[in-house]
Amino acid sequence: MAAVTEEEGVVSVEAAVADAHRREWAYVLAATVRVTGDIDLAEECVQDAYAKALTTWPTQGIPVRPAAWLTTVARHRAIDVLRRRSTHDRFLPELAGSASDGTDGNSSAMDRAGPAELGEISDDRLRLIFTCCHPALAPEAQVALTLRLICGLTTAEVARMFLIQESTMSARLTRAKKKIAAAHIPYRVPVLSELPQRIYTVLDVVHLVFTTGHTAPAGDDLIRDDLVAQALHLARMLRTLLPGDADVAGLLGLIVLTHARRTTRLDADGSLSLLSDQDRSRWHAGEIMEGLGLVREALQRRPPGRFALMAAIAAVHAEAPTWSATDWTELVGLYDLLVVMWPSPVVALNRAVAVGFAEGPASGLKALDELADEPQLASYSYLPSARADMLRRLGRTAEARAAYRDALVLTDNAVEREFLQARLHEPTSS
Amino acid sequence: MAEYLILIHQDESADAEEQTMAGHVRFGQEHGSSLRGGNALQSSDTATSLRPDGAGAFTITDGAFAETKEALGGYRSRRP
Repeated sequence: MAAVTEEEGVVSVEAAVADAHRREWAYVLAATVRVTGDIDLAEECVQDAYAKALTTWPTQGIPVRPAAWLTTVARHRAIDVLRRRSTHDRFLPELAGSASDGTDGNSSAMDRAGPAELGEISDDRLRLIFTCCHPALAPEAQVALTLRLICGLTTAEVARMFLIQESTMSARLTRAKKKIAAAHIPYRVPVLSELPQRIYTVLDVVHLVFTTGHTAPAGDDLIRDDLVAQALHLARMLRTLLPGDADVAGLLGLIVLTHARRTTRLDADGSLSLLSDQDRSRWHAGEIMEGLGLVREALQRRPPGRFALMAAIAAVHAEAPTWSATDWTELVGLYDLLVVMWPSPVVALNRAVAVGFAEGPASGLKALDELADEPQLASYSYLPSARADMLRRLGRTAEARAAYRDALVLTDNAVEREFLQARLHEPTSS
Repeated sequence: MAEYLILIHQDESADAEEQTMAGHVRFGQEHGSSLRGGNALQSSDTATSLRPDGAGAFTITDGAFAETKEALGGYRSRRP
């Protein structure tokens, strides 16, 4: 480290700590939870470690590997605290359990080539993600915990994701952590036999974060780049930690292929740009190649999982050189499979849209009519907007207008509202 | 002392009824002293799933589907 004046030295330490906080906090936390088995205590110890860094680094110098330094300090602090607590015998089994990988059944996935420390850090993040995404917790709690503890977002930032008050989010996170403690949710990677089921919960959370970022349900921006970035980061991390898992490959493939279209989703005025209008030369070709590879891998598993199928659907779009070349028949076929794997009315709705393009709007409308009474779609704007589009293409303008109005009532996203308004006010002769 | 709730998944078909009842009777005889109570639930065809609609911005059943979210306009003339 170059010699600097005392003042410059202090500034660079603060910057280094802030940098370490931004980049390493989640890793340090995960490594510390491994020792404490208790997330709250771990958070406190990590805070202490960062505070200590601010006071010791000016004199000791900034460590070459801040994460390692912080982790060591946080864990020592944790062990100190645990020793002084007399009644926490229940953490000792946790410590014993997490100290050895023997019971996990996953050591083959963990024993990857690489520095032992890196492997250990990866282990810890995986354990923490499975803890955050435990099925005993409510889905919103799973997402909130994941964003806070794995992505390292502040409580305020997570609250913004959910469009609720910080105090509400703080309470929700506290309840979730209490539930983990009270229900003795173990801090470990599930054993091999539980893994397929448990992975799905984690993938669901990551998928949810991505979905919300891809098209924000509310607000002025169509895309929430912050959420998309987090989802992509999480999916890549899962891919690194579980390189052989087909569903993980499927989810990452889905995200990568969809994300490849990001620069064309809005036109020059910031208005919604339809798939038919997007300039495909501006889709990121390298990322599409990556996505296609992941899809091929994901589809090797029989039967294909729902993320593999969703990724395959995204691949059909990505591979079509033009809108008119889109293989809608294949898309309907993939949706037929997906609807079996994931009997959600939203899937059926998207299938109906694909049918509308494969066979014409009359067929599409028929498929949509079957969903008219689905309670889960009652406040889902995409049902009336899909109907509106089919009716528009059939020349049933008055009915189309009514449907666009219905969709508008249900749409909270400003960019989508603008698009629907424009449709509503298009001249009758078109 | 820890208490446990045992949920029994039972074969609801008519043929299994007699055997199932016999099993319940036997279980009661063998373990009655440690049981706090027990009750039969209604048959599974009366069940409903309650799905939370998520909090604020998140919906559980949604996805980043291009069909509804990006393709919806269909054939559309390019902007001049």
